[in-house]
Amino acid sequence: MKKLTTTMAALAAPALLAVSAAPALAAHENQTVELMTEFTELNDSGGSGNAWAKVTGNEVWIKVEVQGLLEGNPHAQHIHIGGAGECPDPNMEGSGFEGAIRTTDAIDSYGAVRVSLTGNDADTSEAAALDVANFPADGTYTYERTFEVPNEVGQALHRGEGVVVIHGVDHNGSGEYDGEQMSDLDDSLPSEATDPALCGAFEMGQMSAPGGGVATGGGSTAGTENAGLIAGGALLAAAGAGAFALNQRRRTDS
Amino acid sequence: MSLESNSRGRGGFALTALAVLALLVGVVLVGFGLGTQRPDPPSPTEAAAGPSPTADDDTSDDSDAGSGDGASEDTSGSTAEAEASPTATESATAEPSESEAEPTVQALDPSEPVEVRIPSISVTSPLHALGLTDDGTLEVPSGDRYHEAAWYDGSPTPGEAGPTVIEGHVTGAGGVESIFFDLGALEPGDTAEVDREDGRTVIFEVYRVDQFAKDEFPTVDVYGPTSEPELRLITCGGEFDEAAGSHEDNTVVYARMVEG
Repeated sequence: MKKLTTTMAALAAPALLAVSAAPALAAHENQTVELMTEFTELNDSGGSGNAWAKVTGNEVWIKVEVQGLLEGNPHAQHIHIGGAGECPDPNMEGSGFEGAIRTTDAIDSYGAVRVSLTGNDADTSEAAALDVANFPADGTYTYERTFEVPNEVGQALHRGEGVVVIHGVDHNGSGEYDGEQMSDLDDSLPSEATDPALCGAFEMGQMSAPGGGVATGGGSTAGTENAGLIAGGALLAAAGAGAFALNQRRRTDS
Repeated sequence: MSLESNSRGRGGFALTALAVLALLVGVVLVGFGLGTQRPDPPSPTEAAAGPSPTADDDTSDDSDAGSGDGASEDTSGSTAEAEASPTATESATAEPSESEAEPTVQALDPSEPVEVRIPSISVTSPLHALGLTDDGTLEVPSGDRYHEAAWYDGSPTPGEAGPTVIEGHVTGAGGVESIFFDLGALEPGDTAEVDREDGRTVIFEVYRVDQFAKDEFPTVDVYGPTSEPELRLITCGGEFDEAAGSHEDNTVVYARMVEG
């Protein structure tokens, strides 16, 4: 898995600093809630992934991991709030390409965009929902950022609400966003660019999840404990072989 | 001339015999040394590993993988407690114990774990509680309790809804085997038993054993919320990185409560 996208790599230094400062929020006097979700594939996007967020007051740290979406094209990503607070049935008949689900088709399920998960220190409000230049543009990426949200968004997240939706599906397999149908969100973009590819409804975490792997190893078992035995044996065998050869030669010489 | 040749011949014979003996003993020693070399910790088999860390939900029914055993050893009588079941678990509780042990069990009230047993790899260990370090990673057993398993006290207690996290070392200093050395050898259907402070024992059945690179540890997959009581047993595995002084992977065993 690639750790950072080209977009992420192009992040301005301040954004990187913000990301690395993320784990410092535990000491906040407000309670921290953890939210997690495994994504459901929509529109046969071929993708998978998950999201993990920690929300303290109105400060949100979020990490989104995505695999298998269209390479080299931006994937708009948002937290939706409202509606039924859930993802649509992947088999629902939509208004898009050959029945594909378009973003507005499932608005009753996941509600409206309230957070735009942009990079580059860009705006994270709904106003940036189609800020194409600042979304990850790889098929496989890890996105991580800490930012502030408005009060009502913070409160909704504290209640465990929120649905993460990742957009951008190459229905016709052309390798880019194209096709006749234009987006239901912006008629200057192909519908492929904004159709939902992955969806995950947040669930309240059941623990403060540990970060990273676990250091439960002490030492290598790789071949050192019998070193003396092996070395001694090898020496003896070599000496024996040498003496044998030497002796044979002496006998032959005589 | 012939005498000298003879004596040299006899001496030569003795020397040859000695040389051959030395060679044989040497080879035997090397063979023994290599043969008794401590092996690497076992890695999970392909079959035991899950499809991918991103599977939506674990709807796969493992009830044919040894759950019959679980049902037959139901002697605890704990299933009689049919209090407050908002979900459709009543039927499972009401059924006689001959019925398949469905993955749907009733969650218990909190009570901290005190001992874990994994019969198929002969593990029995007292449990102590550990938290997170300052950098947010899981604390690991140390000092006098280095070779004991530990429960992450931020995770649910065994029998509560959600994944109970229990960890143990795979090796200690110098590569000696530690409490979870054989964890990677577990197979779906194996069981783990956890005793609680309140005297109850929760039995979990393994449904998946997997190994992940530490730098790609699937946090949501391992620690993410589950609707029922589950268990995660975690240790190290894979190649030992001499430079970093640690194993490159984590072995994770996924189990769900079948009895308690």
